[in-house]
Amino acid sequence: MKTQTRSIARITTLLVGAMTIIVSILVPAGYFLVSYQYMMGSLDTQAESSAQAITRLVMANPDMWRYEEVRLMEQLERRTTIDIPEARRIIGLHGQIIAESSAPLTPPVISRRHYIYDAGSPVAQIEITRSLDHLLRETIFVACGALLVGGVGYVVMRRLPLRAIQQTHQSLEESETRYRSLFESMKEGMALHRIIYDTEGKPVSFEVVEINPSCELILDLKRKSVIGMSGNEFFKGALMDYFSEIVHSAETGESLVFELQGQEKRRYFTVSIFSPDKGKFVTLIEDITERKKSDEQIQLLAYYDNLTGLPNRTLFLDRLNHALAGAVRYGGNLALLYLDLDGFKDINDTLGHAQGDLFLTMVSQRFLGCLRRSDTLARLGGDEFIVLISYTGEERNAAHLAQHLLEEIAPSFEISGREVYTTASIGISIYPDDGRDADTLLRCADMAMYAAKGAGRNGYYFYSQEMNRKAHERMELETSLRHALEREEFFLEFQPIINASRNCLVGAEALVRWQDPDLGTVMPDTFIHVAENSGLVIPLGEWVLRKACEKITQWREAGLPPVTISINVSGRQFEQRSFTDAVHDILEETGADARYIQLELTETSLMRNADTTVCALHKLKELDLRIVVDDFGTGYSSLGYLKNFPIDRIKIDRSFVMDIDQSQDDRSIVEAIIAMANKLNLQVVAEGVETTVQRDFLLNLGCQEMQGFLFHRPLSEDKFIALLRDIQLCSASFS
Amino acid sequence: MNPSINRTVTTIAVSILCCLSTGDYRAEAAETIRINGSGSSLYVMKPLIKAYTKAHPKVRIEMSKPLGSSGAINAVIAGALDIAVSSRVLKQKEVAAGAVSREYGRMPLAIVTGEKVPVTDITTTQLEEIYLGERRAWSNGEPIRLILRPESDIDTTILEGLSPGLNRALKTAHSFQGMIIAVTDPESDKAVAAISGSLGAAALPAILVEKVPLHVLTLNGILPSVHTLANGTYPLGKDIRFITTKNTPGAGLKFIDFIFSSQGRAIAEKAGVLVTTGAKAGK
Repeated sequence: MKTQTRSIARITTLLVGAMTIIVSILVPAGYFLVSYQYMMGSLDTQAESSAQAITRLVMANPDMWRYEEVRLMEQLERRTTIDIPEARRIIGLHGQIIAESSAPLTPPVISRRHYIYDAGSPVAQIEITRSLDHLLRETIFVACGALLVGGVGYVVMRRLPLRAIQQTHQSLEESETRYRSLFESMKEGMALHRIIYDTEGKPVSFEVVEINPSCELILDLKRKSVIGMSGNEFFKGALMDYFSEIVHSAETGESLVFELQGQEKRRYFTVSIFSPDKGKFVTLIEDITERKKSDEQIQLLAYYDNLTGLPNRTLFLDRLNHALAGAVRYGGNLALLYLDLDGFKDINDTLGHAQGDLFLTMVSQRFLGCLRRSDTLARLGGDEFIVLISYTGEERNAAHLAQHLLEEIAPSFEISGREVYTTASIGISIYPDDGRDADTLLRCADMAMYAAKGAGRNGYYFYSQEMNRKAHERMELETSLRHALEREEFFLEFQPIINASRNCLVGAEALVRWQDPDLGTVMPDTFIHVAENSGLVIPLGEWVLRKACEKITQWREAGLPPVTISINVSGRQFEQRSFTDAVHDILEETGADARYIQLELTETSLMRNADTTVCALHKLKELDLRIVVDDFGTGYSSLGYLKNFPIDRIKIDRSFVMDIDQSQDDRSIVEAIIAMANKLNLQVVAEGVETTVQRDFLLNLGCQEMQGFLFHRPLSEDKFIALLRDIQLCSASFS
Repeated sequence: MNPSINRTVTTIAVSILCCLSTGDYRAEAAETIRINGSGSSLYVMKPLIKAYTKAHPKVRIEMSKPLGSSGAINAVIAGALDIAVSSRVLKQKEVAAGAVSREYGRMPLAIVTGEKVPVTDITTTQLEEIYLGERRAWSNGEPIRLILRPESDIDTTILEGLSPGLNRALKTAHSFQGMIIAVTDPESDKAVAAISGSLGAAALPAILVEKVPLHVLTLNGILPSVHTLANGTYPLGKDIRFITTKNTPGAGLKFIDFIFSSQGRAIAEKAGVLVTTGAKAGK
């Protein structure tokens, strides 16, 4: 810029100097030339005029005119001005002076002559001479004036623009210094980019033109290596993801702000785009990692418990309200489990607060281990925790969870080399039974917790007494079931399946029974549901399968005729990935002939994951097992699966059979099921046949295999063996 | 040497050579006498020439329109004239060039106006007032129109000699714009006669010989005449003298002799000349 200034100053000086010289020289020179020409013209005119006058004198007196001195002098002295001294002479052709009117003239002088004629021939000349002294003095005066004006003009014309330029440059320099200082000192990274266009003028990338020191720090690269970087290299090409938006912003002037994750994880930047000039854009990169961390920290402080890292009361209430809103909209239940550690004060007093805090942390970790990701465990303060769960089934999940939580913290905690034991009292409230808003549910759970404390601690308590009772009964039943499994208190009964038209035995359905020492024989309706929800149905199902297979083997070994046994498989059991392997193992272990085993699966369990089901069914079929769709028509019926699934039979649910003689609808459904099965070449079994009317209807509709009290109630193993010995087996039973 | 003097000397020398080369021819043609001079003097010469040529019929005297005293003297020196009739004395350079002057007499220089000007007398003071521009109209209200002569003219010099006041007044009058300046005596006389309300000066022969219709005023009550000039009461007089050179032909000299003769003087006095000398004189 200084060079530019010097150059402009030099050019300005030269131009102004030239103009000054031109003015100083041309003006007086012009004045002199114009005046000189005017003087010459004036002299010429006067000489011509006088010559004409004297010519008339000559012609009037051709012989003696030259002696008419008075007249000649009168002509010579006739002047237009008397201010300028002149010499006027009439000169003969030979140079002699005929008349003269002369004033003293200071050289240099100028002269003009004109001929005086007589009859067309020159006889003399008149000469008028004038001194240039006066003109020269005037010219010098004008030159001085012009020089003065030129000098003043030079000073003014040189100084003013130069001063303006200097001020402008100074102002620009100050501005540039200010902005450069700002540019270099700003904590945000700033980079200037030039958009690169292809030959068709389409923007394809960009390159870095300039960056500031903050940008160097952000990129961890030196300025020299960054300048010239292409869009794919700069920021590891992250900006190219936004390139079309950037170009749009640069073309329209609209601002663009977006967030970027840094080259290193856990670094975040806000990138603002603006366009200072056409074809260029600026990225203002602000490192917001710390702010994000602060935000997270603030979030953590605001919504999480410092000690355990669990959600605090605020966040818990927020989640509870969200869950309530979801439950209202989509249905379902919520349960709040209010936990208070028993005797924590003593632990705290004994071990100290620090150890007490550590203990609380360990307890919270154990609690967390019992929960699904969708559940919420929060610490409300002190030794109080709360759990929020949502579910769609029976509320016994809450009781189960409560029991699980209690069991989880029952083992000792090792704190500073000491074994510490604790228990908890849990109060449970259920939405919507106990309340429909957060406050009510919390209050109910709190009250239930105090009830649990009052009931002797280390237990859970529902706010609703009815629910409390049921839950405890169910828990007791579950406990009993678990014990029953361990003690093998279950046994099988077999309900024969009859071909009603031929009156022969097709097979039998194995039915599990529980022989409780206190309750006596317990029917499946009572415990299957609990087994399903507690997961005990899986070992129970395995037990049934194993036991049935053992019986088949035993009966075969006893020389009884081979009979097909249907075994119910629960949905949860079938969903086990290892189910087919377990079946295979059991078959191997028991040595049962798989051809005499058919597994009954409900529509619902088959359809829960159709693709997996197809695969599992094919594996079972490879083992030579038969597949029966149980309770057909009551579940999620997709006719498509009948075609895709390798099934052998369908069993018409007892609900359709029950009113088949009275309900046209049921009759029509059964008729349709049978017709469809026939078309698909599937066997049909009707269950729950209790009357001859039902039997006849079914026979008329083409269903021959039936099961029900009309034929046989479920038989003990002994009675079934006796039946096997007496009854005729259908020759093509389940083949 | 002054260049102008040098040129003059050269001119005279050339003129002399010319005269010498043509001397024989002029001697043979001596019957022709060329004469010229101031206008008022030439008025006097007319009756003299008439009388002389009547007595000498073979002599022809040429007298063209007046050249003025200086012009005529130069012409005589240059040989272009035989005799010059001058109203002034010779200058040193003219004498040096061979001019010879013979004084003859004086003519009253009258103050004249147009005929209709309603005054008969004028005083020196009035003249001063008029030439100073202080008095601009005659008594009848008509503007006074001055007819001036060139500043170097003998008439102007004579008038300036009347009083110091008039000397200044004439110079002032010459500085006025739009003044009429008559170069020769006849032009002046004609202008005064022709212009209404005019005021000028004219030698008495203009009225007596030329009969120019001028109204002659008495100056300070004195009528211009040979008598008042002779007795000294009239102050304004204009010389008349004859200039010759050694080259002047005999015929010319004879004519001069006639002029200086009693017959000649009588004719001159009748024409309004106060003849003051009867013998040859030179300067």
